[in-house]
Amino acid sequence: MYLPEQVILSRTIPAQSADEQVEAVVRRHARFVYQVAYAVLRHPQEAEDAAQETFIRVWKHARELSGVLNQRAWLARIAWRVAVDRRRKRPGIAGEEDLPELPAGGVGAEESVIRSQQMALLERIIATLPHELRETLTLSTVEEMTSVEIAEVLEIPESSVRGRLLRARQLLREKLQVLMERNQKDGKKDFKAGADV
Amino acid sequence: MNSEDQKQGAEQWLDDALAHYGAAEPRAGLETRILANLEAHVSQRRRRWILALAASAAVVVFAMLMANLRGSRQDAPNNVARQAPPSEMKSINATPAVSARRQGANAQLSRSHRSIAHNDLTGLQAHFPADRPLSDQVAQQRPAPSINISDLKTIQAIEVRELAPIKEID
Repeated sequence: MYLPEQVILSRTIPAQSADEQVEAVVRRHARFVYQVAYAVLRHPQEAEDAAQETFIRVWKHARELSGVLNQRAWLARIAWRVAVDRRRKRPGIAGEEDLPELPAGGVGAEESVIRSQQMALLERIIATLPHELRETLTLSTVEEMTSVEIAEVLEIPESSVRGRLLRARQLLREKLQVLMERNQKDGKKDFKAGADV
Repeated sequence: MNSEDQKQGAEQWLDDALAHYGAAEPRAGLETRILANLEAHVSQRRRRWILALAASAAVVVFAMLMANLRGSRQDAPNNVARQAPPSEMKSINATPAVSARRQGANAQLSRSHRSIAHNDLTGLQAHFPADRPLSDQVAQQRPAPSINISDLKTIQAIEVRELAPIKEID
């Protein structure tokens, strides 16, 4: 009989107190929760605050923790809701991202500038997507997040997640192609962050 | 550059950009900060609970004290007023003859008690101006009560009757 990893763990690991369980969850999943929050908020400090709020909520529901089958998906859902709430309360958060510190000079500095321009352009294109495609794509960018987990977070079937991702990528590609054509006509070789999407 | 190349270029650019889009690394020590924040939150919550419990316990104790105080103030005059003098107390099942005899005996007893109390008070008021219990020494020195045996002779014995057996019901 197949048993999920969490069920096996909960049966083999001796019972812990609620505080110990929460501490173990923090140590194991803090980075993941931060990344989910960051995907929504695009701001390091806001993402950290959201991660802290997420774990306070987890602590409040610590008794349910042992019964949760997929802790990652459960945590991702809480973090997602916390982050969306924070963004709704403070709509100005997005776009206030601190730019990464530039190296003193050389190839690294040039790469860093190109990368930040690339990210800014991608954010602008993603912002033009319909809401349901945008949130699915945003979650898919979080490291190691599977379509099953995205489906659990958004409470939709997994097939819908795949369909939305395909559609989102297709739209992004079309927009990029339009930009590339426009840049070729203008004689530019690279995209710029301030390009009119 | 044809459309196929453009499509491929856009695809590559997109893959590369999306791979970096979600790769956000938190500042070092995120777990420690989260745990410290949680600990502060938990202790603050516990402190609030303790304060709330202490406050509610204080309110309950105060309410009980106030209720007791009010009850004792209300009961004190009522008890005195409700209490009937011993001479008026009557047994429910007593016959008129028995109750008349009891009344006579009660009146005798109360008279003798009053005289005892009067003698005690006059003798001891100098020693005990306050209302305090007597010590053993003072109790031994106390004069014997002045009860006349002839007075007690007037008390007649109460008639004791046997109860009729209860008939069993089939």
